[in-house]
Amino acid sequence: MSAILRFLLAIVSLCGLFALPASAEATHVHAELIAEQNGVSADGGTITVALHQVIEPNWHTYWRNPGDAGEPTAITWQLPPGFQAGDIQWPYPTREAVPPLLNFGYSNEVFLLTDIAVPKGLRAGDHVTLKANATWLVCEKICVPEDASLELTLPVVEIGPFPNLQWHEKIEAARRQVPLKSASFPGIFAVQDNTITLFFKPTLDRIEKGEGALFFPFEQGLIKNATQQAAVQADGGFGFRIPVGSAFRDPARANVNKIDGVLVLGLEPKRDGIKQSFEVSLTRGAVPALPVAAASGHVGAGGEAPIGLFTAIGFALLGGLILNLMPCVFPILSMKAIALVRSHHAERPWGDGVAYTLGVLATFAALAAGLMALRSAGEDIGWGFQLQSPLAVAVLAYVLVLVGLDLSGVFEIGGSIQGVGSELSSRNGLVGAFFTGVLAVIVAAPCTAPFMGAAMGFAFTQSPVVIFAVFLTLGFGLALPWLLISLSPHAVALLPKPGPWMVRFKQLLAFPMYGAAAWLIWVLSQQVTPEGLFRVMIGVVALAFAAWGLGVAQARGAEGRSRVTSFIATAIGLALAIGLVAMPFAQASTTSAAVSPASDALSGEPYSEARLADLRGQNKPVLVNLTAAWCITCLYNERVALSSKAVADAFKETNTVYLVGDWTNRNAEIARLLQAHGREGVPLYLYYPPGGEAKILPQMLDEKTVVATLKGESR
Amino acid sequence: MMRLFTVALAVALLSPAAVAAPTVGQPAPEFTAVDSNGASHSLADFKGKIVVLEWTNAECPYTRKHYDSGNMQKLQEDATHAGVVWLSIISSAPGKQGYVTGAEANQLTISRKAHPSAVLLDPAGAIGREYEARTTPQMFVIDRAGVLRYMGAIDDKPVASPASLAGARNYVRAALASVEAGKPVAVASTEPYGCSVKY
Repeated sequence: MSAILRFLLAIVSLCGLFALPASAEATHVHAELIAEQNGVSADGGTITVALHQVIEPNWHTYWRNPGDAGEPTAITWQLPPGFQAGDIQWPYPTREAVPPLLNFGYSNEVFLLTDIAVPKGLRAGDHVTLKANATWLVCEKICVPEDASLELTLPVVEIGPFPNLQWHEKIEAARRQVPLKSASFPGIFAVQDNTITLFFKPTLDRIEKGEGALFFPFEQGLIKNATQQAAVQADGGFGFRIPVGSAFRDPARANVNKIDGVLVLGLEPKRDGIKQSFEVSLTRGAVPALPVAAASGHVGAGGEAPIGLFTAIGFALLGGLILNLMPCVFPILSMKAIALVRSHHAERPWGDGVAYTLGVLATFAALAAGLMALRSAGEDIGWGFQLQSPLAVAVLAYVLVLVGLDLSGVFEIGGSIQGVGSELSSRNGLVGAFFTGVLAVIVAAPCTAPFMGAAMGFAFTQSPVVIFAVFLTLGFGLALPWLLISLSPHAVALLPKPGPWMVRFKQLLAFPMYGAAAWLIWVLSQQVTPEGLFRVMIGVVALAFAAWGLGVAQARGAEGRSRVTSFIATAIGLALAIGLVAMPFAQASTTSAAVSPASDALSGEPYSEARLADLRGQNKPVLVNLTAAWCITCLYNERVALSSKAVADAFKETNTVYLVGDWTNRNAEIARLLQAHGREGVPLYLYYPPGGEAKILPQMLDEKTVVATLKGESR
Repeated sequence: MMRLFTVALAVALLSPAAVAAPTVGQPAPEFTAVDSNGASHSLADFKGKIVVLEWTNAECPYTRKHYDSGNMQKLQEDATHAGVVWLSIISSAPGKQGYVTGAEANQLTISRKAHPSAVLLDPAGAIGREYEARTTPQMFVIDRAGVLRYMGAIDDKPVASPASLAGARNYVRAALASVEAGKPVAVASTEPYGCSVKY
């Protein structure tokens, strides 16, 4: 209501009713004209006059290029004969983020300077009145056009004029913020693949690294404004890579040859106070290749700070390391344990570690490529997509059962492992280690570990090279612990000596495999009809039969007896197993399958864009949980943080509506919501306070955080 | 293994950017949205017709400049009489300025005497983000083949003052005339002006 009231007030002020002669009290901006000197000289000259705007906290007025929206402040002068006003000398602006948009403007207070030429021959003792009609737009959540008729009366003086003691310093400070016209920063720009590269090669004696530099173009539509600008050094200068603005998406305007604007240096906190700004001009030309760190992240939606490349790489490494601890990777680690113990006396244990690492990296590269190819084909998918296909889940379950059967001793993969430790350096061992790496990634992928979501979200706003860098770092993190152990003779020496215990240990390790297979079958139960689920389970039995047949064949072969019958059994089992999953699956209806992940204490409604908009329209608080059956982190959070009575009570008490978006199967609306918050995978927890911005909750939830968020007690 | 990696990298580098921003001369981004009466519309439904997209926010002073003066309604009326599909799109998020329910949107159409073919509700801002809509008003003209022919401001006077309407050059009217006559659009893009879209 108050917004409407303010708007009405603005309209009233627009009519000039509130305009006062010397200064004007508009609703959100106090404006006045002030002069740098206490009079004008009877001999003429120049006087600097400022339009001083005092802006209500959190509101802003606009620079000459307002950015994504808005309108620059304008001044129309009515001056005595012979007086002439120059253009506004704009101090450099600040970036005013209104996610997903970004404007260029001023907060709190600004002095817009104008030089006014004073004619000769004025009579000392007279007064001159400078009149100005100023219009501006002031915005916070809403925008209000305001205007003011202002005037300033100054004496004509014979001696002087002298500085206006009240304002001289402020005006002097404002003048220091007006960009210098300088040839010290010749610039070149180039446009390629919807990215514009701006490169500056300073001609200064001192070294200018461009730290904290920001570029503000004079024209709209040249660069994507809502982009973090991170200058990087190259070739004796520095530059930015920024997504292009809309002008470059019109062939008639894309051939711009010159870009003018303002370069602001030293805006980072530690150098605060020595900001310098220059008016610069860039011409089209060849730019040096900028290091990848130049890639600029999009300003995240919802006001969440975007993360930079190095942070993303760091998180990716950490995420990869954490993957080793996730329950879905545990069976694979079991296999690595066996492999390492086997390799105890091998000549080159590091070969195993390297092959495993390569397997992990190759699979991550393939996943990244697949994800990018599918997304470019317009699929609404994200991280974890590999488990959104029932066929992929069924095949993974088969693989895990087979590995389990191998560990149980039903049959042996890759021929004899009788001579434990003796054949390790053989080709077979290395290939085996490579495929163990492949398997580790495929099974680990759905466990979007904490930290990984943000890194993935960052990666997919970037160039393919950066996407690969993030994915490969993630893989390296996953492989790192085993790589280190295999590379260190001391670590290997710490492992127990091989012996008969190994057979039983190996058999024991089969059980995590069966457990993981059971989990995948459960995931499948969310995706397919009961008939399809039954087919896969029979398929598993057929697979076990095939494995048993192969085991018998291996045993008979060792005794030198005929293996034909057992091979036939294997073939029948395999054919049946493959045939059962090769038939298309009828998809379970998504609505009925909507996971109600929390216990009975807290039941959610299925998420939809319309439902969320509807609830927000009613000013109801909403907690959105984006989850998937194959996401272990999600299920953990739902069990630990979302199913307690305290949480259910907090929901009831605050009348918060709980919406659950189930991403077990593909869903475009959920993919959109994830992308809107810079995520590529689940889990994502969003809290919408009544009428407020969405708040992203941590990926690892606890009961306290949830309750505090609902009750509005969190920071 | 190296081959696998090389192939993967090649696939990745060849794939175009994941999100295609609206580009003049290219097919306009596809969307599906629910209108103020609950009916669902896709851009593809209007193949064969010229489509105008108008981002709007009834409380924004710049939008009001065009509605309070009757300028927008006149343009809507002329366009829809000529068989153009006019879609007014509201991307304001719930709780933010300009957000309306379907019933309120219909009420606005009546009270403002507007003539859109439909008012699309985009409270999640999905279409807005897809089209990189920045301001209200912001306009797009799509031809009969679904190709984007104009994007940007409604006219060449980027100010809130109603006085600016006199003598303004209306880019949308010009673009519609060119598209209808099968001629190239002289000014195919401009920078939109107005309030920020209240995502």
